[in-house]
Amino acid sequence: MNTNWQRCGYLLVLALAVQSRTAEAQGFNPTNMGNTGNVLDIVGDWEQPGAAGGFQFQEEPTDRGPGPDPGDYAGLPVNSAARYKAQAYSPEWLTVPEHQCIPHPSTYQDRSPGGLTVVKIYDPVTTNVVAYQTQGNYGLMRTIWMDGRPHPGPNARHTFDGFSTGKWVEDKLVVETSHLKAGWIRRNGVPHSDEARMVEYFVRHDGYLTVTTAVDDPYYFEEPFIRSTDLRVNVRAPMRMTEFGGFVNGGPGPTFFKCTPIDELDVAVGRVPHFIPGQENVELETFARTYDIPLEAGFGGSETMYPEFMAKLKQMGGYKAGQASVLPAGPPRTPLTNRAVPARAAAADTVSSEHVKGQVWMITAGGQNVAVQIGDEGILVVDPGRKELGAAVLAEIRKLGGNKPVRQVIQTSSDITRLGATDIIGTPVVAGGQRPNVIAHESVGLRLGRAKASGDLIPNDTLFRGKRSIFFNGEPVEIIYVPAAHSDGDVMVYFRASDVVVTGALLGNVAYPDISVADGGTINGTVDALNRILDITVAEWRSQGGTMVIPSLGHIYDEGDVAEYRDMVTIVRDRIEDAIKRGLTLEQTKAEQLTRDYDGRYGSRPGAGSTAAFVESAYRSLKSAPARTASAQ
Amino acid sequence: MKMRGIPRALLGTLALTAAVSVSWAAQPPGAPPPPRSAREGAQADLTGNWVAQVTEDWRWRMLTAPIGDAEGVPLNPAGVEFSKKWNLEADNAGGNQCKAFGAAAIMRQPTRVRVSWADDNTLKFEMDSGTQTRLFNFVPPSQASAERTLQGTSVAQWMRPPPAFNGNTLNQQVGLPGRAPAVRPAAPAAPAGPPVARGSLKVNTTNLKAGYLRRNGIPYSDNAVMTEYYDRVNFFGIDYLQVTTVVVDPAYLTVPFVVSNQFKREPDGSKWNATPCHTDPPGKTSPPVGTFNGQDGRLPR
Repeated sequence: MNTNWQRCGYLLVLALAVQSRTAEAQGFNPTNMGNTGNVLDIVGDWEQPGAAGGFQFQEEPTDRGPGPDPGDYAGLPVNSAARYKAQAYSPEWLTVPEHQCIPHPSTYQDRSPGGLTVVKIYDPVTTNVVAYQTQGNYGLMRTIWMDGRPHPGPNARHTFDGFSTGKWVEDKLVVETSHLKAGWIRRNGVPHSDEARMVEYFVRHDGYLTVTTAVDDPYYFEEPFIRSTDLRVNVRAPMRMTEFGGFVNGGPGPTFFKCTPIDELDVAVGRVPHFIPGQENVELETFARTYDIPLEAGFGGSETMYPEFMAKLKQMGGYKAGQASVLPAGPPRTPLTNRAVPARAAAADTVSSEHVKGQVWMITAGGQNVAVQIGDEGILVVDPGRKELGAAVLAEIRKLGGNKPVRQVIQTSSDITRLGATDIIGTPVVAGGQRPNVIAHESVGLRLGRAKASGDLIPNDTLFRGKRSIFFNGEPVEIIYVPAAHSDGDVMVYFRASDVVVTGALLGNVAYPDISVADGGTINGTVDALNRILDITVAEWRSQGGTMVIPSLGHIYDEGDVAEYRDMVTIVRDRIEDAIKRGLTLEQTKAEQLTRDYDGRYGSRPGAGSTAAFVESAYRSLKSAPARTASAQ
Repeated sequence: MKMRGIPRALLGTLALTAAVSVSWAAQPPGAPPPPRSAREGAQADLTGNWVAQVTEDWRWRMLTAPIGDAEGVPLNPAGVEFSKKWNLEADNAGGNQCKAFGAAAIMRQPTRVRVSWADDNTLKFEMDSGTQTRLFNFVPPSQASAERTLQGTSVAQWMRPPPAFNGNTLNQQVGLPGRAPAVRPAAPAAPAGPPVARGSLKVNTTNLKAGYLRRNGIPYSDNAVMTEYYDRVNFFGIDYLQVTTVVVDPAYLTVPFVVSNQFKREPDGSKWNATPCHTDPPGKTSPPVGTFNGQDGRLPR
């Protein structure tokens, strides 16, 4: 069906192209096409307004062409967290295998070279418009649903194109986008988080299309960031990327650009290139030095967007060399309109479920995720969750799997909050029925025994190292030991046919890693475990899709999300390691706020996984760890 | 000159009809009569206090770029030559301080804008940067002024989607052959009172005196003409005024120069700060001059 819809769209594109060529021959004038009838619609091929289209940008040509200067965040409403994250950015980040094929997120896609192709998708039965699809180079084919469907729930997966719905409001197509992956608004590391939202207006004026985009991000922006992109009706064959990443002019429509990551250099697995704050990064001064402005001016913020800033610039004076190394914490000024980062609300004690992939479902109970595999043999549950929510989780399992028995339970750690409902989940469907097999690492059993836990909570099937593989519901299920990460007794679970990884406590989308140093957890082990997950995951298309990942908290992940989380943990680890090398105490390290770029996003939950707990556990485990070898850094 | 002898009142009526009745001509019987003025027929309420947000081309808009830095502007050889010879001191000495504050550039300046109705058929745009005023005439002047001016002569018209246009049911435009047409919902009732944003404002400006597209002497000639489109948009509950500007100048440009930018609504005019035209000295250093054309091996990402 999709193929038919797309065929219709391509025919339309072709028709418009023929029409445009005719128009060109007759003296095409894009400002005098008349806003009547279907000229208002936005379908067709659009190109840059320069003479040759292609790369000829008339706005922000440097940024959109060869790329922005390091340290140029001027005119962006970034807060100090965004600035800090951008200052840590290294262009080498794009050499990391998980990032090599990353597309432009839809928050940036319209800024790409070439142009934009817009097609309509029809329901073949009703002939109603179901969606628009847009594609710009380096981006993804993006769908804007027009059929009134709601946005997915909070635990649905995020993508680089996000989930978009559109509605015509008089002569303007208004598009709302949610479920974005973490991305950027400028190609020098200025970030937006995966909780950013976007609203766009597509407005056609005669032969021009203006796309005005507003991105709001509670963690990184002081106010919504707005910019507009102008495109002209394309009267020539559209420029497209080829499968090898080059460009061609011509062809009937979008070409195939698969992109496959390769090893570009022989570097350590899991290396995440970045700059450590406080270490000299002279590149960061490039923008200020080139245009003779103070470094702080180039570092942006809301106030740099408004007319008053011109006067302030004069007061600030010109460029002064060597400031980048003395501004590790970002500009020493309070943004005029800095918004308070919203505290993450405590999860309600509600239960909901999402199909993940294959035979695997994710039940979210009180904010925690429970993985459930359902098949002919019965039901396998990973981390049944808190005891008080056990009955509700069991009810949800029954809703998904009927009266199939729970035959296997896997406990990924000894956290009572994750396994407290084991006995409830294991309640036989019929009285006197068999209770499930409970699998965990040996340490889990020992700890529960020492804590005198109920016998029905204690695993009866343990592993010590390596992995345990079982074949259940027609697919191999790997239970993989991950030493010294959250604790010394964690496992993660991989459903091989369903292609789903369950991380357990290693990864919680809304919190920093919960590292229990007293139980043998370490930050280096956590980084290793996250890289182990990335060893398993395979992205389907441009760093997203493919293997799905269920974290302990928050929405469904894929490789792109895990890589972002791995990057965060690695970067913070490196900063704290550097602080230890500089001889800082734990308190001094905390005072440096080395996690400020991530605290809003991950650190606002109290207790385990909070900023304070994470920094302390990372510091303590690094302090007692043997120094990493150069090749591992 | 051809207009001479036609009663001015009749001329005004005819012109107004043309200017504000883009889509009323197709009104079905029984529809409301055409509006009596541009103000009454306004398709968007653009009035109020607005402030520019300089989120794009920051270094060209907030700073005076180096001499000859025309990156992004499609200058022809004559335009390039002119821009290289720009001399701020000569401009200041010759009383040409306002050349970067003309119609083709003023909406791109970091400025506040105050929009009001000068009369029922004239929308007034005042800018505090350079203390400039533009008048958007919905009734074209009966006689072209002999004198070219910095802000030129602007003729405006409301662009309204035709009554039949409903983008949410656009299927009828390319309906698949052989299919029954989809049932279309009834057109919504017209909202009471002046619309916040129903359509766009299109403004054509001619009769311009030569000026600069950017503060650093990137030229447009007195043959330049300009088309602008104004829209009201709302993001996250905040009102913005969006303008798309198309400058055509056969003397200095190879193709039309197209830019767009937004103004954020302000609650009042308390931040209004009228200043005379002023241009800071140009920057001293610059990246290589010229428009990036993607042909030098540096592929964008």
